[in-house]
Amino acid sequence: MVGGIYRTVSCTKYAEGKKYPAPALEITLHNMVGEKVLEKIKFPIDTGYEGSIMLTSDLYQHFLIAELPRILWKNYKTLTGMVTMRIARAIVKLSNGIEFETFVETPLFGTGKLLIGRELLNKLTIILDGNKENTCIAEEVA
Amino acid sequence: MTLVIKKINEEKLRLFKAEAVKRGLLLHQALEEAITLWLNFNPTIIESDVDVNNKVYEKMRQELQKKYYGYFVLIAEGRLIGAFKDVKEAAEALRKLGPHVKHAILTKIGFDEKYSGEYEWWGGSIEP
Repeated sequence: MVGGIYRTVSCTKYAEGKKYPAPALEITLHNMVGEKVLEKIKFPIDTGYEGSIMLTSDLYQHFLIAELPRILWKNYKTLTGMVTMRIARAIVKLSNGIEFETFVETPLFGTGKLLIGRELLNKLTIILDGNKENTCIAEEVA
Repeated sequence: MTLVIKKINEEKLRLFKAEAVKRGLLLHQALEEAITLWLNFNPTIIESDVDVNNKVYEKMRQELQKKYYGYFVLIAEGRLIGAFKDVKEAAEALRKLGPHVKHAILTKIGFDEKYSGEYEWWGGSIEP
C-alpha cells in the first residue's frame, strides 16, 4: 500500500551548495566526557555515504577521548579508491530534541568534511521538501 | 604571497607537482593542503597515545573477548582502565581520568566489531 500521513517535528533549512542548496540537518555534538564540541551546526545529508557522521580532522580531535581500536576503523570504497576512516563514540542531539549515542568518523589521511550518512539517517523519518528547501524530521501520524 | 624555496629535492617536487595535477589542484593549493595535514599531524602528543593504547588493546584482545563480552572496555594511559556494563559508567571513568588524557579507546566488546570492514561512499572524495 502506498501512502501515509506524516507530521513534521522540526525542520532545517537546506545548506548552501555550489549550485543548488543541499538537504541538511542541524545537530549538536558532545564527546563522551560531555564537552559540547558543536552546537546547532548544519550538516549536509549524503545518502551515498554509508557511515554515521563525518567530521573534519580538526573537529575529530575532540572525540579522540573515546575512539574505537585501530583494527575496527572502517574502509570506504569511493570513486577515487579506498578511504580509511578513524571512528569514535559521540553523543548527537537532533533538532527535535532527541539525543543518542552515535559514531563520528574522519579520514585517516585528508581533512574530511561535515556529512550525515545513512547509518544515522536510517534511524529517522526524514522529509525532503525541495520546494521550500527544508529538511524535516517527521513522525508518522497513526 | 610569493614564496621562494631553496635546496628543495627536485625529484620530490616533481612527484608533488604531478600529484597536484592529478588531483586537479594548483601548486599553491596542493602545498596549502600539505601544510594543513602536516600541522594537524602531531606525532609527539596524539599519535604516541594512539599507538600505545592500540598496542594494549591488540595484546589483550582475545582475553577481553573472553572475559568482557558485551561490556564497554576503556583503555587509556597505556593500560586497561576497566570494563563497564553501561556506557555512562565508562564515560564517568573517562571523566575521572582528567583532562590530561587526550586519547582513549572505548569499545563495546563483541558489538563494535560489526562496524568494521568495508563500506561504500558513492562518489566520495576528500577535498582540501
